[in-house]
Amino acid sequence: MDNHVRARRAALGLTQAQLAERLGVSRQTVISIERGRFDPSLPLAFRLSALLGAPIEELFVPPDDDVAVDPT
Amino acid sequence: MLHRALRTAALTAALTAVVIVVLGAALGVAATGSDGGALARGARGALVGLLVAAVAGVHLLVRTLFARVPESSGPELAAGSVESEVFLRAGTQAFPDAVSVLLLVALVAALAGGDLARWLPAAGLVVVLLDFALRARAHWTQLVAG
Repeated sequence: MDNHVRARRAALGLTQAQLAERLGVSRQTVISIERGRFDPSLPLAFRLSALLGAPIEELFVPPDDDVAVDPT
Repeated sequence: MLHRALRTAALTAALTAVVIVVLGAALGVAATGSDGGALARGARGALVGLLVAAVAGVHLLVRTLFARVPESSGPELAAGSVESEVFLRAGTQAFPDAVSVLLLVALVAALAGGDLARWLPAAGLVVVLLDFALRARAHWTQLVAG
C-alpha cells in the first residue's frame, strides 16, 4: 500500500532506526512499510499515526479498488 | 535483536542438554538387563540423552522463532514486525502440507515396516522443514527483499 510514512518521518527528522525503536519493531519493518511492500497491522498503524502526528488516512493510501463504497 | 533471542534460547538448550545427557548416562549405568558393562551402558544412556536434548533444543528454537517463549524478545520477534509476519505466513501455509506428509509417512511406515519405517519419519521431517524454509524465503522476497 502506498503511503507517506517516509515523508512524515523525514519531516520530523527521524531516521528509520529511530522510528523503528520507538515503534518497538525492527528497522527492516520500517523499510518495508515505507517501500509499500508490507502493510502494518492495525495496532502498528495506530502507533505510527501517533508517533508521526498524522491520521492513518493521511499516512496510507489504499488501492483504488479498496476505496469505500458509497452507501447510497 | 533476533540473535539475542536465539542466543538466549541456545544457552537454555545447552544447559538442558547437559542435564539430560548426565541424567541419561546415570540411568544407563543404573540399568540392569542390558548388554555390556557399566561404561557401555552409560555411554548408550548418554547418547540417548543427547538425542533427547537435540529434540528439546529444536523444539525450543522453533518456539522462539514463533515468539512462543519468554526468550522471544527483540524487535524482529515483536508483534507487527515484518519478520514475524514472514514466519506466520510461512508456518500457516506449511501446516496443511505438514499434516499431509505426516499422514503419508504414518500410512507407508505402517504398511511397509522394516528399514523404510525407520527412516521415513526423518525423510518426512526434512520435507516439512524444506517446505517451510522455501515458503519463508518466498514471503521474505515479497515483503522485504524483492
